[in-house]
Amino acid sequence: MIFKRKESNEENKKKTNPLKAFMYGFALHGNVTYMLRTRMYMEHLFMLMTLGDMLGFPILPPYYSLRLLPYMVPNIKSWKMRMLRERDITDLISG
Amino acid sequence: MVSILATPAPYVLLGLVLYYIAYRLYSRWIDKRVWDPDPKRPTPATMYMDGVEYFPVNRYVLYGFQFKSVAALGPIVGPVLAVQYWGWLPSLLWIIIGVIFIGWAQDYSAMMLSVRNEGRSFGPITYNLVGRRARSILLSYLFIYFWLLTGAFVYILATAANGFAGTFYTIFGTLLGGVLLGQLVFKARWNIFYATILALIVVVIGYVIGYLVPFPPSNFLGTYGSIMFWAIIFAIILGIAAIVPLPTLILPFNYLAFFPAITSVALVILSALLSPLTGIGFTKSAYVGFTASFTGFPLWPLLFVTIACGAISGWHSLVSSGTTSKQVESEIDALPVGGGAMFTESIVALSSFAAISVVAVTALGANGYVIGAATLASGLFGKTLYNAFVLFFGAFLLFMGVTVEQLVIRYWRLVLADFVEERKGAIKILGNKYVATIIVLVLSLALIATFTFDYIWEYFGGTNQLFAGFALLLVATYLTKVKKPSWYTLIPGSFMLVTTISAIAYTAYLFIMHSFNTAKPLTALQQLFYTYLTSIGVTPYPIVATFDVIAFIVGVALVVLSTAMGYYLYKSIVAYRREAGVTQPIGGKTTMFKPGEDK
Repeated sequence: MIFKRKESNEENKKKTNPLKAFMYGFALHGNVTYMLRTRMYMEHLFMLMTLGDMLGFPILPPYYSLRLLPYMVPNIKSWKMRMLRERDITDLISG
Repeated sequence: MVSILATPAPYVLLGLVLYYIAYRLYSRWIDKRVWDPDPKRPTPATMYMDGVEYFPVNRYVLYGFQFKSVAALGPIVGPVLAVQYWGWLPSLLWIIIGVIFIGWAQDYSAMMLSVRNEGRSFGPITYNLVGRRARSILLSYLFIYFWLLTGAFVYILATAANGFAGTFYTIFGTLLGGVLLGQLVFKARWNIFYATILALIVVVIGYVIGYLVPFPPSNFLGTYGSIMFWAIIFAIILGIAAIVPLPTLILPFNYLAFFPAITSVALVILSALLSPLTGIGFTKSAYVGFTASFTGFPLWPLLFVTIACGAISGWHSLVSSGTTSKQVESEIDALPVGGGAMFTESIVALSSFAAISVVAVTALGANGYVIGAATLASGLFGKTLYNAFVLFFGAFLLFMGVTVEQLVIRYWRLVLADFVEERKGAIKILGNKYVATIIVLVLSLALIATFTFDYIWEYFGGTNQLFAGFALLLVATYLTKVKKPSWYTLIPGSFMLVTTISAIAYTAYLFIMHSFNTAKPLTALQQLFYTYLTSIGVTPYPIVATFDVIAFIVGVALVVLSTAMGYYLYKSIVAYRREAGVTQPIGGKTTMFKPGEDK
């Protein structure tokens, strides 16, 4: 009853089981978030090596960067956003 | 037949009912009148969605995640100590009143503050609102806070492992199960369900071995030697866990620990609510007096720092603004997630209050919780199961300590690395992960070795609550800046600041006074340290005096840092009030401010 709120039509279509969601959040969500962040750092490293000259780090020769470019294009915008985002040590404290 | 009023049941039930009423009335009123969340306004999770750090998450998932992140040994140990010091009535009152008027407000407001500031965490928000110096003070503060936390928690783990022989095997079994789970899921790509079943079998084997083989027995090296033995063992385990990659040990361990942890809390609450049927009643006094038994601590200010996380905790504001705020799907989710998780953690504190209140013996530290919980549960399920419940709840205690400590040591390492990052010379070695981990563990063992846990817990509680005061005042600063009423955080924040600075200053005073007269130990617990030193031919007095002076200096440093932080915060509030041209009192009239007017 505490969590009741008005639901949109889309939400009506897929009802969340609150107990299951709570258990997932308690047991697994932190792990999933960590794994996503780990993959993000590895992705950053790879993107930095291949397309680093977009951020001022000319590491890989342009020939290879251009060969890889078609595969990287969908990720470039979010990569730049994440790389250039302000970060602080307190961001990492998440229990 | 025990009178119902002499059992924990009506008081736990009263707490649950009051929490519900407070959530429905007070919390929602503040939510609507001050922050006025708009479900149509995009949150950072939707605005900066990248599927990695910023992405919307269902409110129930976030609620579970927030609760798991904030719950640790704080709500368990605090009430155990406070009930034995001052009686169960003042402890119960602070748990309930604290969370209703201060605790939920801090968690929720810290989350909303971050959500309304592009998902930024406390470091950048402090920098923006208050200034560079305030952020530096915050980071320095985190150093000391993590160190004290580690010292207090490792001591609790050591006393639990020593007090309840065999519980170590449950941790060991869970660690092995965690390593196995990690390898099966991440390397061998097993289905998580089958891997979990296999890992849980290993965990259960650990429990069975612990029950059948209570070895080594309690105090096998004498009380002091045994506790230090276990402290070193846990320090090694935590050190390894803090260094190896998370998926190897910490993540699967925390996942496996979830199953017994959630069962334990539910069991204790259920047993407490049914205590009139089982006839298990209070054995502790309702009110001992203003001066605590065992330690002589005054009720004010020390009750308010002894019970930390169950009423209010600064750690929660870090968590609320760290990851959770970046995943809030809609602003209207912040109250059930942030406020709801805090109320739920206070329920854990109520369970601890219930457990210790029925313990007939003196059992300081978390061991009192284990005895009380086992008493309540075996009253419901059969007295023959008492020893099994002791093992079960002892394991729960160890899980709650180990899961958080692994991460805290990691954070301490990161804070230290951040601190030395821009420095040059030999100091940069402190940023090395092995060096930093060893430093915090050695410092924590040094804290533990003096057996002044009662005082260290007050220091830890003081820094934790002080952090909460900072968070509340930071929120008040922001609300003043955006011309919203700030009384609901300014008044509690000021109370927390004054109370906790007083508590730390008083504890520091006790340390320095003791340094002039070390012939008598601070507490009966420290007598064990004296006895140990004397037994190995070392005169205790110079060592104790040195530790007292160091502890005094740490206390003074905390007081100075806190006062400086408080000065900067109040200065910012006054400056923003002048800037906003506000002439009305801080409470003001909520109708004068247009809802939704943010900047």
